[in-house]
Amino acid sequence: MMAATGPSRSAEPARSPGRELDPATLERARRGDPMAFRAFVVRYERPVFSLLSRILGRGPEVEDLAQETFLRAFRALPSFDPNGPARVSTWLLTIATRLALDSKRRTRPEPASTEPEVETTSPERAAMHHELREAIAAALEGLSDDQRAAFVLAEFHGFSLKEIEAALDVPVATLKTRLFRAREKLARALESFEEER
Amino acid sequence: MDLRRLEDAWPVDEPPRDFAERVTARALAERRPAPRRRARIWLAAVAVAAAAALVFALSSERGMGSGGHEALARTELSLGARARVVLEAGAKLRWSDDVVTQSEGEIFYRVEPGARFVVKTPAGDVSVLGTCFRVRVGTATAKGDGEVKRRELGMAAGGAALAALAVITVYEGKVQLSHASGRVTLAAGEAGKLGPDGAKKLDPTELASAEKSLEERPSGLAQANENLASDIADLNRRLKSVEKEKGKLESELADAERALALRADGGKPRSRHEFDLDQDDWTELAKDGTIKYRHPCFKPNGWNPDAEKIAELGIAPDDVPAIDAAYKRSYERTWKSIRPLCAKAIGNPEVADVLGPDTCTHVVVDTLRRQDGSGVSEAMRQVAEVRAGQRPAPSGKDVHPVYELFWTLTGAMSAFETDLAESLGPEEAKRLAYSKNLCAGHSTFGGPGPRSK
Repeated sequence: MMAATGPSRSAEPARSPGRELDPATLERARRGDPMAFRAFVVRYERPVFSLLSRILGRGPEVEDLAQETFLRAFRALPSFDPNGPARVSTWLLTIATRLALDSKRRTRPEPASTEPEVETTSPERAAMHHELREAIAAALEGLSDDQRAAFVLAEFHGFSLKEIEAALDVPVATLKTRLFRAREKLARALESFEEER
Repeated sequence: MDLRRLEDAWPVDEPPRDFAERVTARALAERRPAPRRRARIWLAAVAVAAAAALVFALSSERGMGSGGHEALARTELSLGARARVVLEAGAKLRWSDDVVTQSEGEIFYRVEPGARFVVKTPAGDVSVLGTCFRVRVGTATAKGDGEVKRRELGMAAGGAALAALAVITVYEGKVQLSHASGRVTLAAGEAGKLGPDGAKKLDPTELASAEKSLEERPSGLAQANENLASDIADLNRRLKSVEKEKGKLESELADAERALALRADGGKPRSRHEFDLDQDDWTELAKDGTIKYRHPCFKPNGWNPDAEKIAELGIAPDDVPAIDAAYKRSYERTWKSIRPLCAKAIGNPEVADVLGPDTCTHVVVDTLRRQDGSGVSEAMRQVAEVRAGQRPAPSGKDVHPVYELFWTLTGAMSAFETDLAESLGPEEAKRLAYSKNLCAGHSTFGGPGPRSK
């Protein structure tokens, strides 16, 4: 009787893309092995849900798009090159990011300015209520969808600038500005909260 | 920016428990039109009440051998060449030749096409050909379509009779549910149940009700064990208190030993951790048969450190999954060895489960000491002497349960270290294994004394 430990659903650190699926299982998943594909889903479901939640906000749409992400991955896996430059997690999260941004564009127009004034989102007011979560939410409201996606990919999923450039189709220079703005706004929200405490 | 705080303040949705199954089923459904595709059937959510068991009879020229597994975390197994299963934590499975029995928990099965495959339950049979399905064993609520009456649960818990409820949802292909009162065939997308009232198709509402009922109550057997568990928990608390005191005394003893060693060695301090034992150490211990060991904390649900613990250990957040996996493997390895010894010593595997590895270790040693004191002493000497390289390891009938117990425990940290080394390298693995900040336990069992000449 052969026994092998399967993938677990243990939590993984936020800033890490985590260990990739082992090459043998990935290869079996590429060939359409259902059990291997299931292992693929189990391995990456948390990062995908995390990414989608942070770009879209929490709600039923997260699961819908997570399913769509994995279905697209299932169709495209045979053409994914495991020996290529992209990690499979980067590839998968790029699919999820694009689906999320497409969905946001369909359901809600982008803010007129990609650099909205942080003051309009009133993080100070939120901080006055001594609710860090509210302060963060307020700061996030001030980010454009692309800013938010770039920030989430960089800070929570370990994407490099090159990888974010490929995922969002945005030049690195623009990306740097967006990341700077996003970090600045979130840092300001956290600082304001700390000061109020 | 403190990203850890940001992460905490920015919660995310968690994937539902059955997300992977549903996505996989959808992906396979998309593939279905392929003309020469092998026939596969997906079933989901089979619930069986109380101590009811599901039995799988495989008529195949390739046997499965025999064995069993109780999953402490999600575990994947192959049953012979034809069947593969994924057990969720808490699921129990045993098999013998071509019969598989699931007594608890949730298990996902895949069976390659071939001879007839029969799932037997006390409520009836489920017959399939090639198949993928999930089986969930638990307790139904006492209301709704999935009703199993309290009286029946009581009987099941008492072992006099079994009342069963099995709920099956088919994703692909066809499945036949057989009961003494009749048969029902389920096609892809349909759900059904086997229960005290026979075989029946379920509509989505009834299916949801039956599934929900599983979430709400512990299994009948678990319920029956609650009182016993309460008594044992009390015993456990007392034992833990004694163990805490013992740990304190051991620590004091270790300090004294260190001081003594320092004096005996002309002031040269020991460079290794006092529980990082080499052959020379074991040679010393073998003189009177003393057993000492350090083992990773028993963490069946893995290791989920906070930022402070990560900093204390001096690791990167990226290292956490490797350590988490090593803890889980260590627990499975250790418990796999100790559990049967404990169950045999106290005559009840369920009680062994409640006691856990720490307490079971003492229970096994104490019980066997009362029964066969000299055998235990000899077994302890054997462990120390084998570790010291003074004799070969015993085999077959010569292996005393206490030898097996201590052999496992004295090797636990080394195995943990080996697991860590796969991901982190040998130096970092050694550093972590003997770090004072790593969650680990220490024990010393005083030996019987020198061998009589």
